[in-house]
Amino acid sequence: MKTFRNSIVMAILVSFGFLLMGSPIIYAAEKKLVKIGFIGPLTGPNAAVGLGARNGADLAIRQANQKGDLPYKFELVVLDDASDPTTGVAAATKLCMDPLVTAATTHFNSPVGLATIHVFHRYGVPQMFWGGIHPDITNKYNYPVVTRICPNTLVEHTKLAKFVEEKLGYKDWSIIYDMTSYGKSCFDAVKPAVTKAGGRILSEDGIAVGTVDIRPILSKIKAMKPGPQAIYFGGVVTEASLIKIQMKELGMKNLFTGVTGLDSETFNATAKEAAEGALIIGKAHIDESSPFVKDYKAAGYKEYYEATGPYAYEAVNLVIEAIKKAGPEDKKKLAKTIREMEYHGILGVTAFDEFGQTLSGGLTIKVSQDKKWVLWEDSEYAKGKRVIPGK
Amino acid sequence: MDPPLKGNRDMTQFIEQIMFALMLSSTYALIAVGITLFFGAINIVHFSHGDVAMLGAFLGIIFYGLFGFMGLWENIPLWLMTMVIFLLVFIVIGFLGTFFERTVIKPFRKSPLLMVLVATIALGIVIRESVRLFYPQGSNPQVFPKILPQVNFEVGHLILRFDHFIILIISFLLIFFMFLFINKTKTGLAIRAISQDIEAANLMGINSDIIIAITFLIGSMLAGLAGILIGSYQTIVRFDIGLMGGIKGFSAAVVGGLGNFYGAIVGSLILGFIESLTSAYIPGGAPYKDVFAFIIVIFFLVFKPSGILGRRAPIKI
Amino acid sequence: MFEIGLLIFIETLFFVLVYLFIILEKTYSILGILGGIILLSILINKVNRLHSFLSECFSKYKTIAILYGIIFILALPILLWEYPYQIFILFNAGLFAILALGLNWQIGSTNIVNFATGASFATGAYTSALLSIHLGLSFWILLPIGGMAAAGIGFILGLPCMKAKTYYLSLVTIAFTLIVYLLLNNLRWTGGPDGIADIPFPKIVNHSFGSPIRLFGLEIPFQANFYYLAIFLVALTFFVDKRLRYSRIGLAWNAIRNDEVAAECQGINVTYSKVMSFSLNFFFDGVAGTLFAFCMSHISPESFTFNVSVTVITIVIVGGMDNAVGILFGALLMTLIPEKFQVFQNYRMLIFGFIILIMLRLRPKGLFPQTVRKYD
Repeated sequence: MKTFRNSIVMAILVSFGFLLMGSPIIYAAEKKLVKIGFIGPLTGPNAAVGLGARNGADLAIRQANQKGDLPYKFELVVLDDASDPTTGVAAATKLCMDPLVTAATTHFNSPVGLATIHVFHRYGVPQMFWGGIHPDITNKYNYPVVTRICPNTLVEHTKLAKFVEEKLGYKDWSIIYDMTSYGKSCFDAVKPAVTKAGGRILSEDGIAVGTVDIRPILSKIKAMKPGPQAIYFGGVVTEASLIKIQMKELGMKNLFTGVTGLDSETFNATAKEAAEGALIIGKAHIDESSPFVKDYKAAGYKEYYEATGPYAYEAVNLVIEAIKKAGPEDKKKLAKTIREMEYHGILGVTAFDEFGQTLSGGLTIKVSQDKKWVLWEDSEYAKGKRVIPGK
Repeated sequence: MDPPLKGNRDMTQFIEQIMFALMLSSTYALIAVGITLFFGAINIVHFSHGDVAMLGAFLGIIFYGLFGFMGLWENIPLWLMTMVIFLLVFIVIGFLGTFFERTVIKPFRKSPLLMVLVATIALGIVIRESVRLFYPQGSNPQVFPKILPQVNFEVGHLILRFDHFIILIISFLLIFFMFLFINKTKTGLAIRAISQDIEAANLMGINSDIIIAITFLIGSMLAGLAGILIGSYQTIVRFDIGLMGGIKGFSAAVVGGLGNFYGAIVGSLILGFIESLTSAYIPGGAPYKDVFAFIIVIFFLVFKPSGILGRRAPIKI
Repeated sequence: MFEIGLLIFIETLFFVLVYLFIILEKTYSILGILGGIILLSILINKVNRLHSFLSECFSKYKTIAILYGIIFILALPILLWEYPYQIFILFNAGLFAILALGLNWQIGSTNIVNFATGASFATGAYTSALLSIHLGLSFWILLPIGGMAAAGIGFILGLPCMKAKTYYLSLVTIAFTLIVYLLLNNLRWTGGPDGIADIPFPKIVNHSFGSPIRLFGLEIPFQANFYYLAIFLVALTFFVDKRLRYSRIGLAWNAIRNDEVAAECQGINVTYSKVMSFSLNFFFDGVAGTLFAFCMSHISPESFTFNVSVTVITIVIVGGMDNAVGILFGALLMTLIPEKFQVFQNYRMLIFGFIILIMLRLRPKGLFPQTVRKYD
């Protein structure tokens, strides 16, 4: 009886001992703590861009704290959405529950964003998208708390169609798209964009996610008479590179185009020589010598900043600027201030339309040259030294 | 080059499609043959066979990188290194597969089928997730190196690839050698004996334990090579190609008749052709090609579970 | 009297530990609590006198113990009124409990390994979501409808496949889950990869599930509404499980599990029983799916993958096939632990795989062994 009683007492004591060790240390900060949330895919298939974005956001917070000209100490609360809506909603709820979180910058995948905007709206926490191109995020509900600092898919495709049809003179397109949310929204956007610019769509083919063998479809396109001059692909970069490789295998000489989803060095690394001559709408061009890149490298992040890092960086800075103007307490006021802001940063000038969508977003045109994405203006294709496919 | 007559162009296209279908079928066949072998020998359905093949592909990538790191690619001709990679993967995966059998399948030999089933599925999960987590950037698609010659050659208006031919030939040879092994060697005879009646085989002096291990060795070697061939053809490998691949391979084996060697081939051809041709010729059908393939499988399972060439397994009372 | 007192004390201790486990964030606190719970359980198991003593108390005052437990479960959201996220997690645990209990019948009773939980869950969720958006039907009607839609699918799937062998059947269920995922992702009318958004919150007598509950001056977050509903459904599932176990069909299922051929000889219509078990399982999965859809307000195919099926199978194996209480604990563990140890989120599936392998090897009957049928 004695031993058993002793053991129980010991067990209880040990447990409570652990408890005490972990009890929150009350610390009084001189500066008011202001938390900014970050949600993005830190795990899963989009981890690379998610981590790049996180680092970009983190850099902005660090710089703000270092500068120290505001009476606030900023903290970045990083949560993972794993590209999954349910996880995203859980993360969003967690953020919104924390009264110290004044705003958040979120998401790469549109489906996750489409789920979480309702959460942020219900709790009134400003949410700025650094990724995710689906128009519905801003346009469908027009929640006052939601803004997007990257371009949406309609803007991208209009630019692409105009360039290909007017500048290059190619009017006939074949469209391939994948069955991701992104691929689908690309498909929905490219069709009107092409026809509005005066082009014709000769074929439309959807492929399931994870398809590796697109040869049957390409072979079919090859056999079309007359064939398309441009082959457009809307979807993830892996399939894009496979298409380009298989186009080369089949000896196809059409122009291969896409939008910002393909703006990743993964395309070139996978397709290697076959990538030559692919043309896309690219994300904001950040020069290697710019302060952002220098600071990013100096901060020593393990991961590359990808195309998303600068957007997240800009988003956080914009939010901090808004906090400077409106203060962090009144979230409604903060949301309004963000919407009305005109911000000058690494993406150029950012201002939002009536739906909270940025009007610029820093889009560029890029072509794959020697296994790298090069700005069209700087490329040998623009100068006429190389011939762009499709002729 | 003037555009050829429309008739010719259609014909060319058609032949191209047939080629693609054949290639697809051969990738399934390599897996299906292994699964049918395991089932035939010890009545086990090895759900993670596809994942073993995936390991072969990844191992190929690792060796390629390793040799590059050691600076071997500059000094030694490509074809020799390629053969070395093939051989290494062959051996390593062979033994890895046998290891899996010893640890995960053997303990359940006397247990109800349910256990083995769940165990192999769990094994598949462990393999997939390990690759995803521990291989650098594992959740992203990986580029399989070009170890086969990337040459086009033209036959009339048809553009054919040299490396595709090599893949087809190697697949065919592998399956052929497997067939010879099972039917013409003494060990093959032992495997067939075990598949008919394991107790009797034991009584006849066959060490069934060793024979089973050998079966898995062979099957896994084949799977490892299958991985490399699939990697070479598809250029992209991902940690989860084993799941789909395993299911398709299993489906092919079932459609042809589980336990029947020729059945695995026939089933693979059927599945490969249906998939490839639906994505090419049925408008808007490409995303649903897997659905079509599965519906065929379910159809067979329901109406003709013994498959096309199958053998009937009586219920043991 | 002392016995009742001790019982209440031990239970309270346990509840306090669980409560702390739910709300604490710091890793070592959580580890401490977990350690405490494990220590306590080992203690109770090892010290024989304590063990027999407690089981005696428990069986003598079973009603009081269970009642106390129920009070705790009901009071939990009130205690957690400042932690809506945690209530949401508990709600998830409840959903998984329903899924696992349903699957439990199947595996535990008829030895069919059903990997299609992801698909049946999806059927219920999408059916109710689509009907709600297009026809504006109320949540309460949709609960059973979602269940029946899923059961219908189960029936259609089950009927032809019952003649097939176990492994074929498992293949079919895996393929089915993958097909459903593919279809949901590709078909326009299911919303494709974007899924379905804007599903309204259910209402009960003017109280919307989206608004917090006002009780004793406290404002309990709205997640509690769903939590209570989930608990109610879990209880219902439990109840049905108990009734089934001792019914004719329950006996038939057990007979089939033990020896299919013998059962057939006994006059049991094996095919019919198997299809029934399939459909019943799917029914509850569908109900859980409906609940899920209306809580999240937005569903997409990503939530209905093969991984869901794997998680549920893990719960059933860990909890013990054919043991309902074990399943409940399993569901709680499998939901809470990954949540608390965020670091392991990435390794979740790998760990599940290992758990299954280890459990199968060591304790094929599960953590809590199957209760022998009492014939009294």
